[in-house]
Amino acid sequence: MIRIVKCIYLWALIPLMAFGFDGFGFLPYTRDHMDIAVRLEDGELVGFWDNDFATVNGQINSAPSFPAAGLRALGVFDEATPPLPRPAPAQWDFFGVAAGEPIYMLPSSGDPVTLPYLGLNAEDPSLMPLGANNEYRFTLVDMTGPEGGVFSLHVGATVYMNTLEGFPAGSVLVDRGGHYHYNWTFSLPGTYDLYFEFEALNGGSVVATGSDMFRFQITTGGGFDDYEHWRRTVFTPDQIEDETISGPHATPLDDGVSNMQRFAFGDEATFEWVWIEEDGDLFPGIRSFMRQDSGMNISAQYSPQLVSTDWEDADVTLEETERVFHDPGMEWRTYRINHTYMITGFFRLRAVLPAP
Amino acid sequence: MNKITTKWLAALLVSTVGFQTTPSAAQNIELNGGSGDIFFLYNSSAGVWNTVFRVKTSTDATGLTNPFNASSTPSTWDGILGNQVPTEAGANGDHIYETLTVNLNVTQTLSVDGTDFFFADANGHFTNNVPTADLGLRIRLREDQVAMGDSLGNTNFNQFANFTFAINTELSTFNGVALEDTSAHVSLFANDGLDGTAALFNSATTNLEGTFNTVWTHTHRNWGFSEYGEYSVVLDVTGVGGEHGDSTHQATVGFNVIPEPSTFALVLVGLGFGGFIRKKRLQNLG
Repeated sequence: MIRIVKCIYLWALIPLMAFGFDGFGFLPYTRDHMDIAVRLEDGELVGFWDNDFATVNGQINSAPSFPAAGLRALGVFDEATPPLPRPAPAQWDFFGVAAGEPIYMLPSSGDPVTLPYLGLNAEDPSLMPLGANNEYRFTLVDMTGPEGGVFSLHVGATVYMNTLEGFPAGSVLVDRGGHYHYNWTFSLPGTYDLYFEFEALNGGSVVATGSDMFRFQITTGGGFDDYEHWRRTVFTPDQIEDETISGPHATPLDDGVSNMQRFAFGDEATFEWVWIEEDGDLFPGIRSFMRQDSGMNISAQYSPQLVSTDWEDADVTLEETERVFHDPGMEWRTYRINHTYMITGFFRLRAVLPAP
Repeated sequence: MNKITTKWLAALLVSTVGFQTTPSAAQNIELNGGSGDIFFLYNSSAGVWNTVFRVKTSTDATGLTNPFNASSTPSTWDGILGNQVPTEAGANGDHIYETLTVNLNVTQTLSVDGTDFFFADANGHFTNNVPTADLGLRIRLREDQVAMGDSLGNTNFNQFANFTFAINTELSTFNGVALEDTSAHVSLFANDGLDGTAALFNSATTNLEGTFNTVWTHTHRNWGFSEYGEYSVVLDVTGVGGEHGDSTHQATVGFNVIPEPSTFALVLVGLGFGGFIRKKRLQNLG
């Protein structure tokens, strides 16, 4: 029986600090309701996430909207919310997997509550100048995702968009003021970018157009396969191509924190000094936020003094882990320090990427 | 056969006339089309619930005369979270009501746990996009401690651990008779995504209560009714456990369930044709 007693915080051996940084674009949206919506800006239709107090980055968020590149819908299909098996009848062939294989379906009605619940809408007041009785066409024109991945927008067996036969992969018409909910189903875990074209239709004529990309991340509860998967998920397609922005050693925010550090230890790296009570004895320990199962080697190291580069692996025992739902793969980890000389020593956590 | 059909038509006419002649008094909200939500909030300071009606862009309703404003409504409180104050009466946002009635024109049926229900196709379910009145549920059971004067700086937290939503068959009525004493049934059910149904509750079964494993959600389900007529559905809503322990509140929603006008017209045409044939027969006999 152990008990973690938090004590002193903010050891600065790891060159990370909390900057109040709220992450790059594509913050994780994990539960409750949003719509992908359009508004009119400078005569063009622009896509955005219309927020209905959904959970973003682990917190209920009251911001009315987010830009398209501001969020990703994160579906965590873990043991508590497993994927559904595809039913056998042929009407379900559109899912693109064999009968009995898993499908990753976001609900159309908020059940289960631990998944994003999404619709499409054309409710924004900025659309009024285009006419009160217009219709808005959302067309899926492209998608990137895991190899072999299939996306479907549907309600039960009524299919509105499906990528099995290529692109354009289907359209939905939403009348002005309209707001419709759908099942968003993916055939494989991974990160998907859905590219939509928008058209405002007035009596059959197109009176405004636009396009935007919306990102979805589907996971079975694990984190990113490796750094490249993380990079692919938190940066825009243009940024992914630019090593000075999305490379592991880049510091795109000029805050002294590299992408690699963020990948390994999160946006607000924290290193806490704790005491661990076990069977009446008190042991020193460290508690930190770090990523698991992502191709990295993370180790605790010890040095008798800071000026030396002579770091050695510390003698520690992992006592406790706490996963972070909105950032799969990230964990709070508590280690007991078994060294007797810790009073005069220094510790750090070191993350190493495997050679490419 | 004609006798039975005529009785059924008479019942329909009574129901329809009753619905059409009922005036919309102040604070008596009627949802006639589009989407709106019944919205549950809990005032922990006073230990009372607020049930209001959320108007959205697509809402087609009457009786939207009293906006719900947390800062000026005596029964509300500063710790409220998740409400939307309308810019004016009838605008998008939350409204107070004395009675809430949903007028449903429905024809389609679906079997839920072995009972056929007429149902209003809720947003995101089955045929979708059908413009019937769609009453959603909105649950915002969190509060802002700082706004309530907590000098320790505690922030927002859940008022309860979860939330249950049950139909009270003893107090609910069908055409003025206790629901449990009639053959009519009410269900609230979802599409499970694979064209199956999942009932939150179904009075035709022993499943009378559904649990939301959250206190902060917004959802649309299908309201199902086994017979045409007037329903007064009494709902027992309960915040369970957590910061404030268990607290139950009763909310009542009226549903006028009638056939869609096109179906109704077809019935009239059919009866007229039947009458014509009967008249011809009588003429032939005469």
